[in-house]
Amino acid sequence: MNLDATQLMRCGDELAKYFYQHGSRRIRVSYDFGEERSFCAVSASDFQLGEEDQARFRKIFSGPIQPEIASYYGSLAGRKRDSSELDLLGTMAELEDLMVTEGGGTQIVVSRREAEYFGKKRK
Amino acid sequence: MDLSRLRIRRAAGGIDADAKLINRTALGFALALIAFGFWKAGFDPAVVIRGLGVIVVQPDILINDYVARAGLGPAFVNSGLLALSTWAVLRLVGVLISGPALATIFTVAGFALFGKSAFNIWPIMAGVMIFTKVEGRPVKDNIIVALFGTALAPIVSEVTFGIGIPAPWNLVSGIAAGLAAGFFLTPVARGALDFTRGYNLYNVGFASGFVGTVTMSVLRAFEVPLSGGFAWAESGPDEILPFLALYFASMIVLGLVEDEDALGGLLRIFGTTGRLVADYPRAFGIGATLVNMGLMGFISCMLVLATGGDWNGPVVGGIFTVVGFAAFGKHPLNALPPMLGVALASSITHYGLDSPGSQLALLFSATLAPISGAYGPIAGFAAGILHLTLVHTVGHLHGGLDLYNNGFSGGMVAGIMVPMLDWIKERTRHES
Repeated sequence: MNLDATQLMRCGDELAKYFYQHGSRRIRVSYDFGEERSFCAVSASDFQLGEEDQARFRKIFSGPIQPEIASYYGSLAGRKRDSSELDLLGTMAELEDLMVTEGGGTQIVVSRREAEYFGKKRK
Repeated sequence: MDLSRLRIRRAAGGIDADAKLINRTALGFALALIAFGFWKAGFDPAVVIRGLGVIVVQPDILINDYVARAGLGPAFVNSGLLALSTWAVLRLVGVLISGPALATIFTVAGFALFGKSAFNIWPIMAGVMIFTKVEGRPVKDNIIVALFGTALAPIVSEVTFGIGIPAPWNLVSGIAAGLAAGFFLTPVARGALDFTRGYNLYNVGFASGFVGTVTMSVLRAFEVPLSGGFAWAESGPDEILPFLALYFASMIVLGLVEDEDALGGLLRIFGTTGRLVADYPRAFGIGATLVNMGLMGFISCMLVLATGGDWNGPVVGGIFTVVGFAAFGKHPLNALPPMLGVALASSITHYGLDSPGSQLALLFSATLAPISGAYGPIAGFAAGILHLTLVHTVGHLHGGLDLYNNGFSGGMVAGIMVPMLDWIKERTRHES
């Protein structure tokens, strides 16, 4: 399995953990692995992300991804039971969508470019 | 749901607004070191070139103080040139100069005062890059490991200049040894991260300790005679401290000028555990980060002054490393407990506060800052005590081939303490 897929799964784990820590018990994680870019959606039907937390998420994902950090330190994501490594996610994936609907819960979609695909293409 | 059909709503650009200032900070640091070095060499290029020549042919096993070997001027020029090279490499591969990048630049510059030269760092970095190519990843993926991995630079120098291989085979052997060490370092560093779980900031130093130990074991098994003696300049603060004070003060002023909320950001930095990955410029802005870096610089200087330490290459290297990691996990509240633990342990054991190993441990023990950040100052203080006892012992394993000996020791402390602290924390929570 390639590193990009593994890293995206770590993002999914970390986001699901965040929702769980904030009280959600109905969480769905889904992936769509593409050749050039892969996506991960985490949704919680019983949890609404507050405005402050939404701003935090947008800030975390506002910068460019940093593969030099993600490929080495990425394995730390999901390791701690009682704290989250959201900042690390910002180096691993990009925010595609953040949706909070009244009564409909919260959905976060992140994506990651397939570096190995582009590496092979260059060859 | 077909996620790939989602419209991408990413903000245009997305480049950190602070990137330019961070970049200038890194470049300014390198140039300041070179300028200071030339000033101390009387602006005489011959003195600098002769000194750099002395530095390049050193076997470089710990502790090899370039200030004692080549003089203050050439040592600082070497430090500045390597900081500049690190900055250029990061720019070349397209890495965003953020907290980890600042930490690498300051760390490489610091160790270029006692072990890293313009010759011995490149084979290690090339080894990591070969591994990256074999792995099929982009070059920049492992650049942080490559730069921190120059901790193993003494392997290159020792094989080339220290074990008596005739020229030109010494050069071939030294480069081959560096390439091999760099190649195997990346997977070991990833494994080491699983053991220390982000509580030892100098994680590559921990991994390098294992690679250094294996290398040294092979050399010892074949009874290869090693060379490279101990060098430690015993000098006062007069020549170096004013330069450092001016530099750290300028960092604080620049941070306050650039960001009107720098102090607010600094308070938010104080609230972090410092556990990897704590990229302060990315999370809190470069203004607050610069203030934190300057503050940690002053605290380190005050600790050296208070304990009567020497002002030489290794000690200044330790100060630079603390300052660099103040962009990547260290702040006064989490760094001081382990440092004070080392001070106490040095005083009550036979090592003493004035031994070179203790002087370095005092500064480099801040590698365990995340332990006090996450589990409280008492845990951090205890980690410092344990660190001091280990750091004087583990150096024998790799025989000085790992420049980040404190990272090696810190990894062991974190690996031992964190599971225990987690168990205590969990038990306390259940009981309450």
